[in-house]
Amino acid sequence: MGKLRQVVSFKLIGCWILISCGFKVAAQDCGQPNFCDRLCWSPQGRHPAQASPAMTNPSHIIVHHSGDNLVWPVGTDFKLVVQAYWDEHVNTNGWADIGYNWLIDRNGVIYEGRGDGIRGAHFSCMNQATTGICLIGNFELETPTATATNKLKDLIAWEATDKNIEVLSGSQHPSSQLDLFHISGHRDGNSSPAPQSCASGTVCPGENLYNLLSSVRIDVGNYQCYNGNPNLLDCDNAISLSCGILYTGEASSDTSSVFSYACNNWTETGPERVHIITPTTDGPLTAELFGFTGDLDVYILGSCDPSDCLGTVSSSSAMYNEAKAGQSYRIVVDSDDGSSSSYQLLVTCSSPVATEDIELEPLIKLYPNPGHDFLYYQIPADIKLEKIAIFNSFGQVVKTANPGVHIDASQLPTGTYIVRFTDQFQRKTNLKWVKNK
Amino acid sequence: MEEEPKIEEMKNILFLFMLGLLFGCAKMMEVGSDKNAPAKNSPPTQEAVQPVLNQAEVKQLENVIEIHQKFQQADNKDKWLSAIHTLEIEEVSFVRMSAFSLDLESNYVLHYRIYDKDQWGEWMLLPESKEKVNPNRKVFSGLNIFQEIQKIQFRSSNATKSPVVFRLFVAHNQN
Repeated sequence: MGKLRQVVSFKLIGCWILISCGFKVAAQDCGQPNFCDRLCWSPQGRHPAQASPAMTNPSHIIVHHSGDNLVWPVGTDFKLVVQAYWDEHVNTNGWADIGYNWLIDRNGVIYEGRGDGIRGAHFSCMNQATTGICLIGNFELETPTATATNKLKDLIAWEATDKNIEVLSGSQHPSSQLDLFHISGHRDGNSSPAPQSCASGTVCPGENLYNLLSSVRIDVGNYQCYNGNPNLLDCDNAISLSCGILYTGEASSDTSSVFSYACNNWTETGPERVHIITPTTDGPLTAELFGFTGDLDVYILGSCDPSDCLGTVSSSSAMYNEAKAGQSYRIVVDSDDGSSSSYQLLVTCSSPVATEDIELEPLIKLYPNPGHDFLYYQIPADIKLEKIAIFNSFGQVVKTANPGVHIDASQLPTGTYIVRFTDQFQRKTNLKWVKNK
Repeated sequence: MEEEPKIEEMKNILFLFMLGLLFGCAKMMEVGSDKNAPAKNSPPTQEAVQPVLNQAEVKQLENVIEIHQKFQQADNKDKWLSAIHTLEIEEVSFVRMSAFSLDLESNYVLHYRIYDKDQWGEWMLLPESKEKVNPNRKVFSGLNIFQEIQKIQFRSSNATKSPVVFRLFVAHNQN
């Protein structure tokens, strides 16, 4: 609590500036997020920790992906997955324990690996002074979910404040002999000249996660518990939203905390309800209110600070065109007249599944679009479909279907989806589909 | 004189009959070996290994099947060294397969293929880990398998000096 921390203000993220520009006093440590400990993921005690672990004081947090050959299907029991990784690391690799200190599944559950302050086996034989956090998945093939990314930030915020790690800057990591950001990806160790290095060109943590690391650093740097700035808005209880999924809620009936936002020219006098969303691709972010009574306004904030209001506001809708993948945005519904009306809030993000090779397009037609319970498709006679998968806006597979006349989407909530068709030659196409009420 | 050809013909027929009998017995033995395959979800046994070219020791551990596979003799056809194991893994969430060997000297590539729904799948590469995760082991990275496995066949491009230990972590459905 109340530790003095050197905080380097990195205005130019991505550049190497190892000069201290200022000092701040952290108000408090960020709390350790809840996690599933070893007894939780291995209740029979068949996956023990090593008896005499080597300790280390981490100066660098190394982010990994598990790099699985296939995307874990819907409904995967990730406790079993962690058991499988433990088994492989211990009995195939011959290590003393699972390699990572922490693991996070796509639902945001944190699993204890080696745990806090223990030297892991994850950073190309250069593990001293590191802690390793692994997001389960292959982020060359898929995009990390916002839920997982947010948990990664929470975990980093705790590790950073607990271990005095400055998240926006970097320093030399002695084991690798490399200048590394304090939050780095496994692949950053590839160029190590250290004799003990066993790096061999890993892509870990995958392009889609690696590209989020700069946003992760910035977002953690904005945590109130990290930087000590008091928040006016109740961002700790922000409601998580999903891109393209309609949310129904109640306006706050508390007292007003914020009277002005940087992107409007009127005074707000009502209470605020805070939501959070993390797009997984760069592009426009829009927030729109429906089905409410009274005077509700909506704002998009880049942090928990009302002066960080982004884009344009038109009372019940707001738009910001330059949202960044992996960065969290607060969507604030301000009840200007104090009415605690119910409302519906729809936040749309840029289409998330855009990295896949689109080889069949435009041969396949999907209709009706927008549609409802059933969607139909038209394909040329010479194409034989092998599989159909529907992804939600986080890139998660929410339905798979065998090729047929139509796809039954009646169980899916309203929202924006990507329908991926794969043919007999493993050619793929992704088509955007909107499900209406 | 005319009988002579008949006797010769009878001899030929008898020879063919005997040959057919032998072939039939061999087929029956082959089918019989399938019958000796382990019951579903029971530990696989040594008897399940076929053919006998490359022998293996199969161990059923907690959630894990370990196959200590020797690759010593090439198949005649394609020079690969291979062995088939009947496993009958079904109703599982996933199988994670990895492998290692203490033989650091031999150069070989490992492939596997899965027999499911009464047909063999494609040969798949079991990739060697890029990083030297253990100086005393050659390690092949874990792969997730989301299908039932009636049989699995491993093949190696070259003989190995010590067995390759294939490890199949079987994640049973919790439902």
